[in-house]
Amino acid sequence: MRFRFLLFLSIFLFPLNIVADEIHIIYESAKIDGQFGYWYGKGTLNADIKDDFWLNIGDAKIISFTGAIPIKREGNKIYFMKQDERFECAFLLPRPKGHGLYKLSFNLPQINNNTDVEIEIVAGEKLLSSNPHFKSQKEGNYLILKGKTNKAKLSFIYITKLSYMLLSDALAGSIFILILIGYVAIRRKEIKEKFNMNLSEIKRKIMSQIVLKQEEGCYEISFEKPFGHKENRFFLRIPFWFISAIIIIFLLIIFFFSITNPLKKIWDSLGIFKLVIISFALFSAILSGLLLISAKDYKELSLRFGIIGGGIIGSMFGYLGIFAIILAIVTCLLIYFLSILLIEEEG
Amino acid sequence: MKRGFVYMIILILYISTHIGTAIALNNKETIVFDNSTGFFGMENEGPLGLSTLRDELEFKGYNVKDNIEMGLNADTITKDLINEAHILILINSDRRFKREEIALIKDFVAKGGKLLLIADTPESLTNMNKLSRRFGAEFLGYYLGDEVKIESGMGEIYLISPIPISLEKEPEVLLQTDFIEAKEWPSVWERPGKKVKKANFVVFAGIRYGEGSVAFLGDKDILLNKNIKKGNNLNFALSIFDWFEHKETDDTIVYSTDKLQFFVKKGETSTAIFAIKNRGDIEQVLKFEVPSYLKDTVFVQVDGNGLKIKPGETKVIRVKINWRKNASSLTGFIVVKREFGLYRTADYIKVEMIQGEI
Repeated sequence: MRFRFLLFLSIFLFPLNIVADEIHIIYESAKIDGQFGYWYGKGTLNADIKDDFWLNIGDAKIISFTGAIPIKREGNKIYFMKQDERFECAFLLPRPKGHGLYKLSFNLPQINNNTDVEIEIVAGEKLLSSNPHFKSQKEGNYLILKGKTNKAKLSFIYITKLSYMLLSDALAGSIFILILIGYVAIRRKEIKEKFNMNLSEIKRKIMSQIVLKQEEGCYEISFEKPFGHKENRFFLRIPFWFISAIIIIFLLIIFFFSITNPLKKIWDSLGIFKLVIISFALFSAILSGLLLISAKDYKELSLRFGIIGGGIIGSMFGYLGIFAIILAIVTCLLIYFLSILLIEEEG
Repeated sequence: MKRGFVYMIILILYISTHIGTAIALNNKETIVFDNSTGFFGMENEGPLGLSTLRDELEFKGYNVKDNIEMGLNADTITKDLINEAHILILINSDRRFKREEIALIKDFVAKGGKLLLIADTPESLTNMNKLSRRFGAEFLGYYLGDEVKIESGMGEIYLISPIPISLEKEPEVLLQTDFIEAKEWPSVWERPGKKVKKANFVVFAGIRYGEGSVAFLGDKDILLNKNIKKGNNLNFALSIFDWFEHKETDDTIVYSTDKLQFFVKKGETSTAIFAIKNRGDIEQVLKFEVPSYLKDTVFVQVDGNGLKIKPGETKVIRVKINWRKNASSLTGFIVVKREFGLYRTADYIKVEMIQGEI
């Protein structure tokens, strides 16, 4: 009993000096085979050494080392002869696997079965799982994982900043589209009426300028003369629908580039998401167009503008989470009330 | 009139500043360390990193980059990489080069590119030699020692477990060890095996190929932060890049005489002195040697490590000649071996001796 007490006391008063390897690994994003992914893990191992030792290299490929002289290698074990007090080696670890969502799994190089590990992942956003448990934190553009382990096998699942943004934006975009679909469904009768009326109006205007006649063995399409002669002056006829079409196309081009320009830098890295973004944009543009065209009065137009504007802003900042909802509501209200104020002022 | 003159001067100054900036920008050559062969560590400030070399090269006005930093393919050498690089560095390749990559690199050098091939591990030799043989050089799997010191024109250079290089043709510049022993070295993880041979081994060489240049270095460790400040290692590393630039240096050395004449009485010694002036613009190390048949007779009184002579400096050399049995006269020469930067050359001073009984 006394012996146990003394042993406990000695451990408590003089804790065992456990030597730990210090491992630092950095994963950089790089272009691999034309696509952005991750390069090998660039690591360094530092360890205080008291005698000759062996290093279990695990899944690492040793690039250079200092502080000891290698004597022999047996499989993954390399035997070293001590030269200095501190041993350092630089090594490469396997690449993370995946697209957007990456899995990192490797066996650490180890001297002492106790390791302080720090892993920096460039453009990483969130650690979804880790085995053994590691703490994670964001520092600038880096996701930093820290932990102490006596295990050699480590595995992590993390998401990149870009994927996190895309997923949250896609989720926000989906909610926005659902709202639009719901709105369109509620107002479907009005839209149908307005749409038919507008179409027949446009058709009538265009057809009054374009005449289609059946002649012998053929159809003859004749346009109203674009050029004319009145009071000794030549003139050129430019129809209103043509000017409107030019302005609409011009505005569409501006709108398209203002949305896609910020994406330009990451466009190459989007892969299949490009199609998803384009289809989302087209679908929401069609729904928004239907809603705007079918507005009965300015008040309703302002409300619909507000919903569409708020929805776009909410989708763009979807990665902000709850703040994106607040932002969307504020934008919607701001557009609506400012428009109303403007209309009332003019009225 | 005066105002017009002032405006003219301001205009000239403005234009010249822009021309100067344009020239300075154009002069910045890009050095690319290729990652696709498994290299990393350029930004590492620890003992195993290459940050010191990178900083020094940037200080000299180079852009130092790697594939990852350039946003180019990190797993292969592409045309985009070649187009951006002025100097391409490949170190201890851990993969076989593809046929297209070798063709790209050869074309790059032939058209004026500069290539630095570095290998110092037996494991990387197969891959590196596949490329180096195209330029008439081969890295050999020999072990020359944990640390090999070389006295060069730049001073002492410390190589860390270097491997030798065999060359098909005489290179333009080279660095070689003293007469040392080489051992078999099958793997970095094993101690070297049996002795292979003794020789002066070439550990660095530079050749011109087409319009470009290729340098071969049998030691990567010399470039690491922990070793680059040893002796004159940094000067040596930087001089490789100077050599790439074809920098012309004036290495004129003037001797006060090209012939030394002696009259030696029986059993006595005669002395002559001559002066050497460095009229060039580079510091040189001069080593004096006499042919083996004169080793017991002619003595040049200079420190064994050689005579360092700075630009504009003059040094006086004392030569002693001993009386020699069974000879009435003797003719020979002193070889002055000159080393500066990576270059080596030699001059000859004639020695004439007449022996008399008086």
